[in-house]
Amino acid sequence: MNKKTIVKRTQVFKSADISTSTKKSNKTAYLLMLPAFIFLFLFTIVPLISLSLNSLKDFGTTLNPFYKVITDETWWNSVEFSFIYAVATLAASLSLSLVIASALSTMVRKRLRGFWQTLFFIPYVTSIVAISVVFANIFDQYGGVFAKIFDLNLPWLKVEWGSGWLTLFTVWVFGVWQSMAFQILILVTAMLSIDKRLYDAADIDGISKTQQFKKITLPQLGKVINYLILLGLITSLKSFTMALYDNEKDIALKYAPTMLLYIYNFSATSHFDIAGAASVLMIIFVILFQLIITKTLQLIGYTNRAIKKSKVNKEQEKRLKDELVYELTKEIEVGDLNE
Amino acid sequence: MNKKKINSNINAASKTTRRASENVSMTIRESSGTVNVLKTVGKAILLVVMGVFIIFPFYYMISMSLMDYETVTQEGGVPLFPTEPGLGNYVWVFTKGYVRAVLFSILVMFTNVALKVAVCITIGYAFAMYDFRYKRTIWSLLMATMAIPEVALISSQYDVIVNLGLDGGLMVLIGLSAPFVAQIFTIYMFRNGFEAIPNSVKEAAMIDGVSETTFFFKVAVPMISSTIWTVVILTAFASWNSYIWPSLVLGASGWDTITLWLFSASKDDIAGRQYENYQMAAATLTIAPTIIIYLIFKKRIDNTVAATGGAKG
Repeated sequence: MNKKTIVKRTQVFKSADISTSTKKSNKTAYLLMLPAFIFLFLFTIVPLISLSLNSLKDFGTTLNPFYKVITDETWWNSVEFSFIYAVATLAASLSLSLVIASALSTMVRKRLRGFWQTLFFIPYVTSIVAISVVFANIFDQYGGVFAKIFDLNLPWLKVEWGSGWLTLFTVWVFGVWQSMAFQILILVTAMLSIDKRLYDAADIDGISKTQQFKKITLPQLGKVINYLILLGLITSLKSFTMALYDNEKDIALKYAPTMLLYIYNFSATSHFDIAGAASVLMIIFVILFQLIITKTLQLIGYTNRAIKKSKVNKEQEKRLKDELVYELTKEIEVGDLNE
Repeated sequence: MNKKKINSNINAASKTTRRASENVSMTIRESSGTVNVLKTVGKAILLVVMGVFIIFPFYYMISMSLMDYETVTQEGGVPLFPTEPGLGNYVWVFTKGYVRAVLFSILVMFTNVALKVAVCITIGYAFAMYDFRYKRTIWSLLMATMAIPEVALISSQYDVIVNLGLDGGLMVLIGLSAPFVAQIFTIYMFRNGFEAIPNSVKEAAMIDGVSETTFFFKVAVPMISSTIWTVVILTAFASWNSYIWPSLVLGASGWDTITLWLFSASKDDIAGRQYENYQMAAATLTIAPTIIIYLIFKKRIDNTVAATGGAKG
């Protein structure tokens, strides 16, 4: 290719480049964005505005939907139930997932690991509604598993919120069952992507496996864990328990009230103003909660520490490269180092 | 014995450091005795216990779906094994409109996937390929809407659907998808996908004088096929399993998505109560397609979910 053609080509390219950033293409860009904006406008912006307006009507009087919601005991029950459920579910599912994921990621045989991974992932693709019905039957007071095996006739799902914790416990078990699948998959993927040499270096330094989990695995997973905490809490806050009660919203609201169920209940009965006020409150709660978690996580400094640690680990890695050959040629009994 | 191992390790070290480190750790693993065995046993027990916890509901569902009503309601609780298994429940729920519900759900699923991909891919392309006024402002506004818990909007979204007449007739297909179509997360994924197309490709296309439309369909879209797959898979599963929105929209319309059919199929027409044995058969028929699809496309789905960090629509 001679010089001339190159010059020619750049010219062509330049003119083409200019043409894409002129007014004409601006129009194309807006046209391409239009469909998305129509949907966003209709189903995010309009609902948001109408919810806010609706909930503000008759402001200052007892007819105001906000007033109705915040004086409604059922609403506060729902808020309480949702938050306790979210925190408890996350705490249990994430700790279990961490242990399971670390067991899976250290599994040497790939096939075996594949089998367990598939098994633990299946709840993620399963219809929550369908499996809710199954859980409702497992925890049936007279016909369920505990009644059959232990002769234990407990009202697992039929203790009203406010007069006992049993229903929350049962819903929590179900919540843990649901949440682990995603967490395990993400954690195993993240753990497998940690550089193996870090562990080898630690082995040589005689650091125990538990310490290795604390000092290498957890800091390296910092970001992923933060993400799972945030996502897990928000997802659980949006829980919806209706399917556990044969699709009967009133019954569900009595035993296992959640914020979303409360909103659903008033939407389905066309009380859009009350549903709207509750929605606005829920949005505020969720966003506030999200901020608090993010700030707390930053304060704990998981992310920061993870960054520092990974720097240390990089140094460690370099040292490893240099030292390893040295150590080996010195014929040090590696077996002793581990004791 | 140990000497030999170390000798071999020295050989390996002379080849590559990485190889050597692997051998070292192998030696260490072999040499630490009973503690490791105990740990392995502990792990195995944990996995089996948790595995049973995960699988038991599925077992219970299938086992109960094979029992008749008398067995399910007998004194002392539902047996853990079906002593006289039969497929009667399946026949019953199947005739209560299973095929119709599946077809309807698939139709909803296709509408959902098609609308979402079409709407999000175009805006993603616009953000990746064009410079226009207020681009940054618009983008940050879009990102800000992600903070809104969209489920909290259902009451008002339903109001909009009713006012637009999207809650009946054929339009209900659009109504069932509408709130999930312009998903910010999906737009974000498409933008990233298009931005990852190397400049050389764009330049080459420009030099060849390829038209905008041809470039979009023949070059850009094929290059982000993995992102498209991700969106399709996640949307399809979310649509099949969706429940809250369809139950609100379809209400008394007579149409059921699969998750709503589950309840209508196990209902007694006269007494209006739910029959547990029918429910279990219906639940099995609801869950089975997703698990089968998952097992077939396992690798793709695992990668998809792991890569995106999972977005349930």
